[in-house]
Amino acid sequence: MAAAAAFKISGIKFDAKVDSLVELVRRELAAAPHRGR
Amino acid sequence: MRSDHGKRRAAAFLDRDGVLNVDHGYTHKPEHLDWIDGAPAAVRLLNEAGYYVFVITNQSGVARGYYKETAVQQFHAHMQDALRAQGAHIDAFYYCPHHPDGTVKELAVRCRCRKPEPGMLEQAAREWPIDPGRSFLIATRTTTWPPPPRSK
Repeated sequence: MAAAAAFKISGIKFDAKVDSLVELVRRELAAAPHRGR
Repeated sequence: MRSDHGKRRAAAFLDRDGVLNVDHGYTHKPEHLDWIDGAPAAVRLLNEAGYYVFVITNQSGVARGYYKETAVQQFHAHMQDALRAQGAHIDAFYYCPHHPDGTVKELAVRCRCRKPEPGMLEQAAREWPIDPGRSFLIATRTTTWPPPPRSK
């Protein structure tokens, strides 16, 4: 599947014991305008 | 809800067990839904930012005969109802019911959808106008998608 092969996204590892999901999402949203296309 | 045609949007792919809900081990009963702290608020933030929000989850308990696919679907319906009550929603749930060591014969296969394989992500990309360059994945294990090739 050619379309799928081109589909790459950045990943973030989450550990509920140490990370806050809300803070992580806030960080990603703040970084979004700068994320490469 | 299926893909709304039009402009591509960023997507957040969220693992389920351990990211949205507490992983009790083969969690599938609605009464066992315990949110990870802040999870509904995090989904709402993504909704408000215009992101598609997808759940992608391995559910090998189906292949192992612990519960049926209908239980997975019911659990997801319960999650959705609970989220909507808090002003949030998931755009689509994707799950893999397979496992090579499963006891349910037709599901005991090496598939393309079980993470870290990319099948669920590919399916979402076929069904929704996603902008991959602005999308991200939050998972308990996988840190990139597709993952780097396994060393031999």
